Order: sequence, then C-alpha cells, then structure tokens
Amino acid sequence: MVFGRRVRRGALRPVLAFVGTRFLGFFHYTGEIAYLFHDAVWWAMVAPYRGKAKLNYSDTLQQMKLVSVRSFGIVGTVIFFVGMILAFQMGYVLKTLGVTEYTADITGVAMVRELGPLIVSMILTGYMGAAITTEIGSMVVSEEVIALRCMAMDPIRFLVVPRVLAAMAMLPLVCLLAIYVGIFGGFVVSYFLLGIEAEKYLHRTVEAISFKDVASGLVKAEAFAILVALISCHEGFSVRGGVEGVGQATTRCVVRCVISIIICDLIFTALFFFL
Amino acid sequence: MSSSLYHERFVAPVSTALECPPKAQREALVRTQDLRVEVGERPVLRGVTFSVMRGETVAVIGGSGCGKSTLLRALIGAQAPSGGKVELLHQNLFNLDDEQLDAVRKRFGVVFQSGALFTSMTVGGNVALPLREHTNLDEELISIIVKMKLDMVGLRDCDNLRPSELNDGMRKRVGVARALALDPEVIFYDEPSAGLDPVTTGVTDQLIVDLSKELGVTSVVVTHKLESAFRIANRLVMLYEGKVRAEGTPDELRNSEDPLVRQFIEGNAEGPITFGSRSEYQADLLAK
Repeated sequence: MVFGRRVRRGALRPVLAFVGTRFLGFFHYTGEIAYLFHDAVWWAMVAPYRGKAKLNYSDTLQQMKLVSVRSFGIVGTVIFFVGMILAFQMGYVLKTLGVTEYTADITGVAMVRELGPLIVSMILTGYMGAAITTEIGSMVVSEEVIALRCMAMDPIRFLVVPRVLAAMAMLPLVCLLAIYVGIFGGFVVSYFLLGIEAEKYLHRTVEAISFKDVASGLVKAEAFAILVALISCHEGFSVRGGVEGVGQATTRCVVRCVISIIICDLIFTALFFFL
Repeated sequence: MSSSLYHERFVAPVSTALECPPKAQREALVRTQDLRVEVGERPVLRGVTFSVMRGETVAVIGGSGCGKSTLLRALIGAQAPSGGKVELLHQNLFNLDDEQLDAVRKRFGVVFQSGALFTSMTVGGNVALPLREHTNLDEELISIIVKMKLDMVGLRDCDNLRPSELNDGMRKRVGVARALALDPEVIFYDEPSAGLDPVTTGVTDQLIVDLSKELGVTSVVVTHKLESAFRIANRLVMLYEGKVRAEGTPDELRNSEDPLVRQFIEGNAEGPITFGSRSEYQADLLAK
C-alpha cells in the first residue's frame, strides 16, 4: 500500500511540474510583455517631452507602409472571400426559415464586431509580426542590437516604438477598410445568388450596425495591434543561437500572437456583451 | 570607392607595433579586477585582472572558447559579471544607472566582428547615426564629419552605398568609421581580421595602428590571429580557460618560457593545450 502511494505520488509529480511550469511561464511572459509595453509607452510619450530622445519618424512611416499599403492586397482578398463564405452559410440557414434578407444584418454585424478585427490581425500576425521578429532577430544575430546599446541608443526606442506606433495607427484603418470589403463580399453572394435586392441589403446593413458595434470592433483592432507588435518585437529580441534561432522565434511569434489574440478577443467580446 | 585613395593610404607594409605611451599618460582607462562571468551556469571568465593604459593598444589573445569575446562584452557593459569589477574611463560600469552608463558609452566605440552595420541605412547613414542621436549638429556639418570619418578609413566616396554592396573588409572599416564618429577615447575591436584575406587583414591592421598613432586613441583588440596581434599591439594579454595566462609586450610573449604560451604562439599540436575534454572545467561540464 505504502509502495503504491509512492508510485502514484511520483507519477503525479511530472504532471504537476509541467502544469506549474507552464502556468508560471504564462505569467512570466505576460509580465515581460507588460514591461515592454511600459517601456515603449515611456519612450513614445514621456521621453520626447523630457528632451531625452527624438522619435524615429522615418522608420515609423516605413512600418506604417508595411502594415497598410503592402498588406492590404492580401487582407482585402481574404476578407472578401470570408464575407462571401459567411453570406453563403447564413443564406443556407436563413433560407429554411424564410428570412434570407437577414443575411445582410448578420454579415454586417459579424464583420464589424468580430471577423474584421480578428481576420485582419491574424493576417497581419503572419505578414507584419513574422517580418518584425525576423528583422529584429536577424539584427540580434548580426550584433546590430548590441551595437545600438553600445552607441547609447535604446533598442526599445529605436526598434519597438516605431513598430508599435505604426501598428496602432494603421491596423484599425486597415480593419475599417477590410470591414467594407467583407460586407461587399457578402453583398455579392446575397445579390447574385441569394436574390436579395441591393438597396434592401445596404439598408439592412446600415440599420443593423450600431455605434457600439463599430467601437467594439475598433477597440479590439487597437488591442490586437498592440499585442502583435509587442509579441513580435519581444520574440525578435529573444533570438538565441544564430539563424536557426530566428526561424524558431518566428514560429513562436506566430503561435503566441494567435493565442494571445484569441484570448484577448474572448475578453473583449465578454466585456462588450455585458456593457 | 576610389581605388587610388585606397592604395595611397594602405599599400605600404604595415608598420610594427606602437611605441608605449609616455609615462605622463599612463592612467588606466580600462581595468578589470578579479572579473568573473558565467554564461548560464558555465564559468567562462574565472578571475581576470588586467588594465589598459591611455594611448595603449592591447591585444587580448587566446584559443577558441577561452573567454575573449565574453571579456569584450563585459568590458563594454553588455555582459554582467558574476563577480569582480570592470572600470572603464574611471567608472565602475556595473554600478552605474542607465543614464550614467549611456554617458560612458558615448566616450567609447566598438567595432564588431561582422561590422554590425544597419542594413536599412546607407554607409553614410550608419556613420551619421551617433552624431544625429547625440549631437545638435546640423545636417551639413554632419555630412562633412561623415566624409572625414570615412576618409580616415579609406572609404570617402562610399557614403551613398548600402552595407550589402560592400565586402567584408570594407564593412569592418565602415564599422571603424562609425565607432570613431563621436571621437571616442577608447575603441574595442572584436576579431577585426576574422574572415579576411591576408591583404585585407594587413590593411585593417594598418588602420588600427594609424588610428592609434594619429588620434592617440586607446585600443583593445580581441583577436585569435597572432600575426595581427603582434603587429598592432604594444602589449598582449593571453587568456586561457577564463584566466590571464600571460601578459607583456610582443617580445616578452615571444620569449616566454611558459610551455602553454609557447605552444599557442608556435601553433604546435603537441603540448599542454589539448582539444577535447582534458581541461578541468570541460571535465566538470561533462560530469554534469
């Protein structure tokens, strides 16, 4: 019996250790991201007014271009098809109930509240997040980050702030445009295949979407932008072990961004549900 | 790049090591005392004590994995020690807050093994970066200074090129120009001739000697190339297993009777330095 208890306790130990390590690791990681956010806010909003540092405008503009102009092609294509798929799926269910015109309401609200911010941030995780991690990771490997430090320049100000600001400025805008494209995708299916009149579709869409929906969508987009930029930068700085490390960090960045976006989405959705 | 300029400046054979600076100038600008550094749980530096006087060029030599690069990182404040002290420009580096450390950082330059140039900027942009960040000079003056610094390293006409358009030797020289931008008192070189052909190595060595002579800048060169070390340094420090094994002028090291130093300098396969698991800490690591 004693022997049996020992075996059970011993068998549980690795499981508990695994769960405990992961649990602590999650809080440790969240703390690191919070520190990075704090430093980025300090360098972006406090330091310039104390005359300590200038904002890196040229890099910020370059990053804004990466987030918006260069990414909108793929974002637009994906969200257009998602809008079409959504209209198809809704049309299939609503047709049996005889209320096909509600496709417009559901597509509009779903795009604004959920799918627009979620899909845009997911695509930008792969597009912008991976690019940021790779770029910063390569800079770590080629000693550029340590060179910045040796020149008395803070890498957070020089590398993180422009990327966070660019993501914060452009992701909600890209999201707004994407919402229009997604609704248009739904309209194409509804008009040509489900037989909903154009005027009726537009009218129902405008009627269905409230200010609160738009606000919740944009707040989510802003939060996802900050998360993607911070996690990507953090993973870039954490690169160890040469080029192989850059690849691993990029994979880690995408996985962590996706998980963080989903958790954050759940929290905001619950908040806006009760508000 | 103007090839005539390149040859005019560098075609002459590399002059021999520098004369020691006069006694009046002999204040230690770099000093370590019982410096110990661990990477993870592995002790890399195990009590390094040495100093570099103003105007000196000191080469830190030693085999692969002896702790040269870790020592350099500790000297520039990029690697926290587990014990001991690092004094740079009369400041104990690891007792300083961020602002004080930045003030010290503006007074020394580092030339990295790969050059560490920012690939998103031109060569001129790289050299101008510290000036734009830490001075209030107007752009016209900055561009004149950039030209001057690039001229010092024989790359006057390269300011509009991208780092990717340069070869390894040129990238390192741009790294030197960038390190010189703020007129530092001390320059650290990390393996300046690694991966370079013999001629480019000679050119780089000559550049280090010239800068030390003309600007009176204090230099610490970490290298495993003995030929270069003997050519540029007026004092050498040899590390072995994380400790200073030998220290002295090139002649003193050449005439050393320490079998370990002799083996390293002569490059013999047989001797007390062995590859594999014979050393004490390697054996410890294997046991772990």
